[in-house]
Amino acid sequence: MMSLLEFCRLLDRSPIGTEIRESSALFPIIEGIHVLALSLSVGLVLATDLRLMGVVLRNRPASEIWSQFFPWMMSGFGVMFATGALLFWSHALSAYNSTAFRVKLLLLILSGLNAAVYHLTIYRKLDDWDASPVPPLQARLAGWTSLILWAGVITMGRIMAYTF
Amino acid sequence: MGASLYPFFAWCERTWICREITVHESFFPALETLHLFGLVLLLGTILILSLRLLGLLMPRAPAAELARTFERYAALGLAIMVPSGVLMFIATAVRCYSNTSFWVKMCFLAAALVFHFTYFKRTLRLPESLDSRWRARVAACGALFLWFGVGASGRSIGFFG
Repeated sequence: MMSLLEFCRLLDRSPIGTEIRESSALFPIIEGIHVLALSLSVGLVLATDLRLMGVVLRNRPASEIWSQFFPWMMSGFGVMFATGALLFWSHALSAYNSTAFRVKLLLLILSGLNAAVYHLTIYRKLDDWDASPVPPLQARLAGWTSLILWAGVITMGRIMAYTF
Repeated sequence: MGASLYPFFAWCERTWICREITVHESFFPALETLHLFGLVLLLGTILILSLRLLGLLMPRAPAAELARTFERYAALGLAIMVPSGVLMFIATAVRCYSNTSFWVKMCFLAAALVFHFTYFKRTLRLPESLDSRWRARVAACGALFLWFGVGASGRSIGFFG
């Protein structure tokens, strides 16, 4: 079976990986989209986190904010994932050896876990607190955790570019 | 552009601030990361308010209510981006001087700020009616074009010249 390292080397040396890495315009454009789409993905997540923390739009049901922001947020993450995958493809070997990249992946997984735990627990009782200006402690904690994890993801993403 | 401005750019790189930033290896990356945090706050808010003006997000909440809620985050984002940006500029002023993207960004930034404080903020507070629908669309598209123009030209300072 192919090791992770071999797989990364294969990606790195593939025609598409090489093309993106060596093109003078392709890499900056993909990277630029990745950075600007932060506003749509993390920007809107932040807004829903702030509602969970009981900081913004307290007079509106949490479910209204969630259902309104979710499609936009997800399209933002679609762009992030697609551009991120292409960036990884072009620098798979450097990314494999980058501690910042590994930490970034770990923080992304933790962020996913945080969302999963929230949805499987306190979100199931949403009817009880949907209209509350300040959601219950567990929901507020999920908001804070998300905020901190995304700040970490951005920091690691910025640092890993220095190791390339 | 403006040959008379060059001495100022050269002076920036002779200041103790520039020395401090270039001596400490992690200072510049830290500024870039802060600049990104500001970007999430500022462009995130612009997106939310523009989508609302286009009727594509939170249509049942008045635009003025969303403006009151989120404008402080745009202000916070700007308050993070300007100082971190100025420090990065001081550290690389001479390179910025001959960098076309830098000048394009400054033009976009000036236009975006004027548009934001004269047209955009006022449009958010207009009573919503059929008459104001076109003004809302112009405000939203103008803000998105100008602010994302700042972002795109800003990102290209480091890549292109």
